[in-house]
Amino acid sequence: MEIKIALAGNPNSGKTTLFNDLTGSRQYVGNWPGVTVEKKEGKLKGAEYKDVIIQDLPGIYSLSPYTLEEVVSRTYLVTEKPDAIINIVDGTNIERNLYLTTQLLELHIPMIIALNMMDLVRKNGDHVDVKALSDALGCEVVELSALKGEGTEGLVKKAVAAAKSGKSTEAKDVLTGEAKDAVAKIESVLAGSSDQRFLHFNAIKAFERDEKALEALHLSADQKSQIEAIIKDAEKALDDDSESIITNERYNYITGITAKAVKKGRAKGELSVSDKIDRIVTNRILGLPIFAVIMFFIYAIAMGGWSVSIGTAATDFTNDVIFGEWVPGFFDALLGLLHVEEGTVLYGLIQDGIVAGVGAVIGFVPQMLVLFLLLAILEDIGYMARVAFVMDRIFRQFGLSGKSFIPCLVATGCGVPGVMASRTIENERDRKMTLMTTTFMPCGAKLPIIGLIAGAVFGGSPWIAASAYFIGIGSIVLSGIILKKFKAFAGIPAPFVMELPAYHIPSFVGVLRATWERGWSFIKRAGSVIVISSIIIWFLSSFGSVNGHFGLVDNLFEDESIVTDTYVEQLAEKMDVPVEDVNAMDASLLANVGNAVSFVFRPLGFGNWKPTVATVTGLVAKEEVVGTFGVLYNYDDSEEELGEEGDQIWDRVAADYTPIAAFSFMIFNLLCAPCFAAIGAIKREMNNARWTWAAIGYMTGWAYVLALIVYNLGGLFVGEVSFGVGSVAGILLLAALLYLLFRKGYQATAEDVNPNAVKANA
Amino acid sequence: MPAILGNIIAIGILALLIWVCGKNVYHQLKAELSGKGCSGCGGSCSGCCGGCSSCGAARKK
Repeated sequence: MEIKIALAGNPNSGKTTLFNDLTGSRQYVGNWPGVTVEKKEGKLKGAEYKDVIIQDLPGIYSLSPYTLEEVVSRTYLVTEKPDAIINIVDGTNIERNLYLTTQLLELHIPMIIALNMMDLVRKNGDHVDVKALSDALGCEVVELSALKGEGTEGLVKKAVAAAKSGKSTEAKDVLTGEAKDAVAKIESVLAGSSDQRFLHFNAIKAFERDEKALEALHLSADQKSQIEAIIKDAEKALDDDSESIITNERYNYITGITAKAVKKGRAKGELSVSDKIDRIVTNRILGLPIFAVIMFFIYAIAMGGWSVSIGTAATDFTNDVIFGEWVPGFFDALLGLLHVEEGTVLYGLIQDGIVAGVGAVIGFVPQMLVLFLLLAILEDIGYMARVAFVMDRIFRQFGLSGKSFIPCLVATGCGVPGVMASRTIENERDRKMTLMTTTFMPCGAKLPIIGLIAGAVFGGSPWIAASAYFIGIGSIVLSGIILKKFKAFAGIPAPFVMELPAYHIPSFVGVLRATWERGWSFIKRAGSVIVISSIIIWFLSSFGSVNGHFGLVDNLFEDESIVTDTYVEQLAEKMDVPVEDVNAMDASLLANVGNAVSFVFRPLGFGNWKPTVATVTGLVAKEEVVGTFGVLYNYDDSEEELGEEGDQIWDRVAADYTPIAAFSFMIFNLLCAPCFAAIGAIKREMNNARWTWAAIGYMTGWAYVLALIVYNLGGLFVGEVSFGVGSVAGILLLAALLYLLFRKGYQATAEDVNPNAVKANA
Repeated sequence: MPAILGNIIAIGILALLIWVCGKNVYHQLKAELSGKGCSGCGGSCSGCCGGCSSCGAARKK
């Protein structure tokens, strides 16, 4: 017979680590029905436990009805009635974690408390009397260190035994005095309307005026008025609102327990090492500059041109040697063996299409790996959590919340989980706004674009690479300020309460694994999407109509009877290039299609068919922008043998763009509509086609305006662009932006504030 | 090896590569745009089509 054990606990208490340890790879991920909250369940490892299912509930601080996660967890526990609960309690934060424990105990479901992070508790010099804690709570407590795998076996044995015994936990009396009497009276009103097992739990929820709990009980009007009268009497007697009364009672109870069972190693008020570091790192004045300096050095080491820029050195080797000589040389030899002659369509497709396209993208993997490694180290030591806290202080000045920055931090790996992380934002308006701006952050797939521009055009300048990150953050902040002044997004920023984990030495294995996973998924993606895209780009850029003759443009261009001087002049005028620069690819199908649309990007400085095509292919996958360049610029030169010098491609790219045009190109591609995967995620989270299109339109519009301003006004400033219509447009748009930033805007009223966005039918 | 045989082998390998990659890309794009693919996975998705690389969970079909 199947046994179901629910895993419940606060966020960051170690639930995921324990869940992964208990189930290994035998787990499934989906969504709870009707809501966008992740549902994870798995089979317990071990042949003797083949019928035991572990249900991982979302991390919650209580069983109140304010967030989707809380509603989902409570509904599951009350309706599904699991055979047992494992309540993970963070041993380093017992007081806060026990708040949920007191509520879980009221459900009278067999429960084992897993007191986690005991290694850290001992390290801090604290001592927990497990027996005293167990006696006080009326429930068995097991010591655990999920990260180290200590105590898991004992926990599993006890949890399964508890589930099989069916013996419910006898919760101790949490409430006292008036509150206890009031709840007892409500219990008698609810008798008959509630499952006996949950009577006490429901009575407390009714006392707290929990609407969702009351709805589920289907009470009569008379019952409701009796309950209301009981609550009002208690509130008058205790001079407090009902919710606060219960909260105070719980914390008084918890304080009593911890006074007996927990002994702190540090004196009250004494600062831990983490606290001392935080005094500097999250300092009101130093916090932001420290963050800026750290991110600058990370991008400089990964993508800059310094002697310590190991990422760039490795990428140069990959581009110049591996994909510049070895790989093309290998395929040259292999194709020679198969008698596939150079100059044939097959040879061109393989070498100029697939090898060039995929090689161009894979060449940037070393830079990405170094960047991911450094970010993983920052994450593992606990610093990235502080960044959200630091940003909250700044965001709040502009009516935003630091909670909106957390998805942005996640999006530096991939935009898709960044978008999904917006689910934690309760305020629907803030959530929509976050969905519209999260993908401004440069994700892993955009790194090759940054690497290409910073490396090829700016000689590996670390400022360009780092600027991409700060342009992303800047766009999020400015967009937030502008959008908040519209009625659709106006409102008071949500309070931001966040767990700051203690700093610790990064786990070598953990960091390497996180780096490898991100890098490998990038390579796997390159192996499918980039291959197909490169083939399509190669075909469209190799075939075309030359003076009425259709075929391989390279071959047709060698026929002087077809490529007349008149034709070349016409083609030069059509493509807006000097006559002497006309080449075969300008007559290709791709060039014609790209050229028809390229006028859109003329105001941004890259109104040429190649960057136009590259930008469009970026919708499929952002790294394809570089892949497209790899095909188009590799194929450009028919005089030199392919494979002698890989960096010829990037020299050709640099020759085609002025620095300001290249920078404008980078900005547009970093900020415009994200890839299909991210668009799909936004569509799912918005759950509304109009808002999805609004998000895509906003991001693309923002990217266009910013790139236009940078190219025309920035170009004017550095002398690359002369004053003209573009400059006037740039000034007008800049003025419009400044107006939107500094205007008073819509002032939110109490009716507009909607902090509780729980729409689940729980 | 005769040239034609060598070319046939090369075309065959290429066709297989295009088939495998094309199928992957088709399913991935279809799932992504309908919101069921990567965006339907609840975990920390790295964007690959093989499932969640960070939590190791197989994606539910």
